[in-house]
Amino acid sequence: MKRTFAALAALLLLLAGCAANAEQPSPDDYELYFAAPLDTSDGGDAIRSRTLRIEGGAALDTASLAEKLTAALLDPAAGEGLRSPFPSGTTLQRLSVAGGRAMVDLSEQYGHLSGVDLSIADCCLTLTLTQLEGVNAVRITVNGRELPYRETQLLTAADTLLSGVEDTPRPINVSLFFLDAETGALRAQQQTLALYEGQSRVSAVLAALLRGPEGDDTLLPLLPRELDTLSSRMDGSVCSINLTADTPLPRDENLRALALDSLAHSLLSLSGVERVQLLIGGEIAAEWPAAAEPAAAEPAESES
Amino acid sequence: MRANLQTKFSVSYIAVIIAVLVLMNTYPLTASEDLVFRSKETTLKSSVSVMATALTGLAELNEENVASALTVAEETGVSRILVTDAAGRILYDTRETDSALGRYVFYTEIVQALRGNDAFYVGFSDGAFQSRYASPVIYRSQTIGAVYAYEYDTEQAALLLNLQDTLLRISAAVLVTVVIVSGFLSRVLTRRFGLLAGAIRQMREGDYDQRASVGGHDEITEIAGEFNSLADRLQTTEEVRRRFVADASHELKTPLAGIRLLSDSILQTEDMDKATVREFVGDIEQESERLTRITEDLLRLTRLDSGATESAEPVAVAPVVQRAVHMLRLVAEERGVDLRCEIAREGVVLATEDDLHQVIYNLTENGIKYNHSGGFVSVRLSGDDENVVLTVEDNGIGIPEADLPRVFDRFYRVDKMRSRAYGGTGLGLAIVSDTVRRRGGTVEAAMRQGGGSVFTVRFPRCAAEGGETA
Repeated sequence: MKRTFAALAALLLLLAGCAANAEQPSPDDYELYFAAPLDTSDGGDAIRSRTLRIEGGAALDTASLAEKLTAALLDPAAGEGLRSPFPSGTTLQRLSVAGGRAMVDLSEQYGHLSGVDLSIADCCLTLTLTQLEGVNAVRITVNGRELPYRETQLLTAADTLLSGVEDTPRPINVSLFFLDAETGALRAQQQTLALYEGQSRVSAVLAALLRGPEGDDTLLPLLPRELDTLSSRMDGSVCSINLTADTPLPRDENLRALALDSLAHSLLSLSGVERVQLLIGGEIAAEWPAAAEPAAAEPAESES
Repeated sequence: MRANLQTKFSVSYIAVIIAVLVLMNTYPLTASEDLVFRSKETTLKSSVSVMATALTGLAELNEENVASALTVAEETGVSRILVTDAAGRILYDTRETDSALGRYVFYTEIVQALRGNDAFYVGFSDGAFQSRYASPVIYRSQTIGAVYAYEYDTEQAALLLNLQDTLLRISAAVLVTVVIVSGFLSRVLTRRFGLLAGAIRQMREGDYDQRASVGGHDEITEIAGEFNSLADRLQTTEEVRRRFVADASHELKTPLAGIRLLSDSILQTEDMDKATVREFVGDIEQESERLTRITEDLLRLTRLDSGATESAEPVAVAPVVQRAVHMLRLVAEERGVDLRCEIAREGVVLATEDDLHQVIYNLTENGIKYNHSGGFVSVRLSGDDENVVLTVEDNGIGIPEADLPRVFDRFYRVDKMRSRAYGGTGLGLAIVSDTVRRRGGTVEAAMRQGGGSVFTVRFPRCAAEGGETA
């Protein structure tokens, strides 16, 4: 029994070691981009990659490496479960790298592609080659000629929109104005908000103001938690906020003014916002021009 | 045993509840998710359809004409809308900042749409429903672009998560309650079994006073009640056995003591005259005969107790009555007792001839023995459709009312001196009672009006071939 346990333990350690070794990235690893199977609809992208290790790749020059990667892409068997976007029989005629650009000339078969299939093939080649140092853009020709129906002849990685990047929350830096309990004036607190897809910056700022200041006991929120907006919109550089008629704003005139000021100045901190228009029950209640921050204590440190 | 039963009960109870809770925490959530998914698909499909329809009149899509056609998009409430041309290049993007105009998009839904098929995907993760729908824009049977809508919904996700959270809290509370209750119930249950087992153990060790005190109104209480009844019977039986053994010892010792005394007297008295010796030897013989009778009766009772009796068969009672009465006629004549026999109605019962003979003989002999000169003993066979009835009536010394309930007890004698004088063993009526009961009958003793006793024996009538029928 003891021997069995010892053997099992040794086997587990060995497997763990192998797994650890297998996961170690190598400087000779490169991503090859292929097309996903035709019937895929899984919330991901139609372009998928797999890793290819080119032994001694780090020692090769960019052009040679680019040739190897292109040849691997054109190999029909290289997809390993992914679909090659290139027509059967497509070959590499010529490849050169100069001035941060890779010039790739392919055989006639490539010219049979059109529409989204052409776009997918172009992007697979572009994403594969632009991962190389010294290649920032790719120009693809067929038998030495550009395809006239292609909208963009010089492709970069930035031309591709992939879901993995787009779905993560984007950070925005804002200045939120709260009441300084010591001075009785407004003071800004820098916060980094996570902006989700479909969430407007205005709604993100409003939500943050209602949540209140973070990590600073001397700051107090001014807006009531029950604040309810009918609508908010951006027209050019003008931001309009329409509050409901029965919005429970502070009864005290001074506090009411400070509350509305905190809202307006927080919105004015957004880039592109130069005017804030406040409506209550559809009636214009106040307007703020783009102005410097009110004279107050120094803003708190960023909370991001 | 207690730990095993308690554990089994608790574990099985908890396992069932856990299975139910798991079901409760999965099925409603899964069903709710599915409902939301279907709702999302319908909503997005509708929104995309409106936009695609707005674009169908266009021969070619570009940024200007798409923006113009999609002014309705602002009202859809969808998080993001993309419109692409046939190559996947973005012509329209509702994103407020970092718009992707001019870039190529390769979401699988958009690619499917550009190939002419509607595509939908919805996922639930990180506290939000993320739904995507894409549809082709068709002009004269050609796909000229695609409309894509994306929705990021945290509100419905929050509802679902709240539901999940509530279900989890309820489940946790239920589980804790179940664990406590099952532990308590199993302890109560096994404790009661333990009490019962303890009482059984003590009784096995000979303490017949033990009774199981188990409260409640369930099957365990019933078992305890049955055990207590059994214990009562065992205790009674044990007491009877002890008394019987004591009485038997005493009955056996008495003639033995007499024999010993007489034989000692003979041996120790030199020059005892022959007449005295003959008298003493005659007394020894009598005591020996008495000892023999007692032994035979005891053996008979033992056989009755062990159940080792011959199997019953249909027996005609009348001939047995006549035979027994005939055997006792001389004894009755010697004592000057008139022995009468009447067969009013014949009958057949399931018994053996020996059993019936013993019963009739013992009752009739008693009637003769405990009588006086000039008295009578009447043996009458009668009955009805159900029973054969044997009545033995005498006008002898009778049995006091206080002794009637005990006359059938072993070794019980109303008048010890008289019984011994007549050579009685004290077992005759006990043999009658046991024999009758074993054959499914009953026997009763009563005082006779005018003096004497009446013994009534009833046997179930048997309808037998060749016998009297009911």
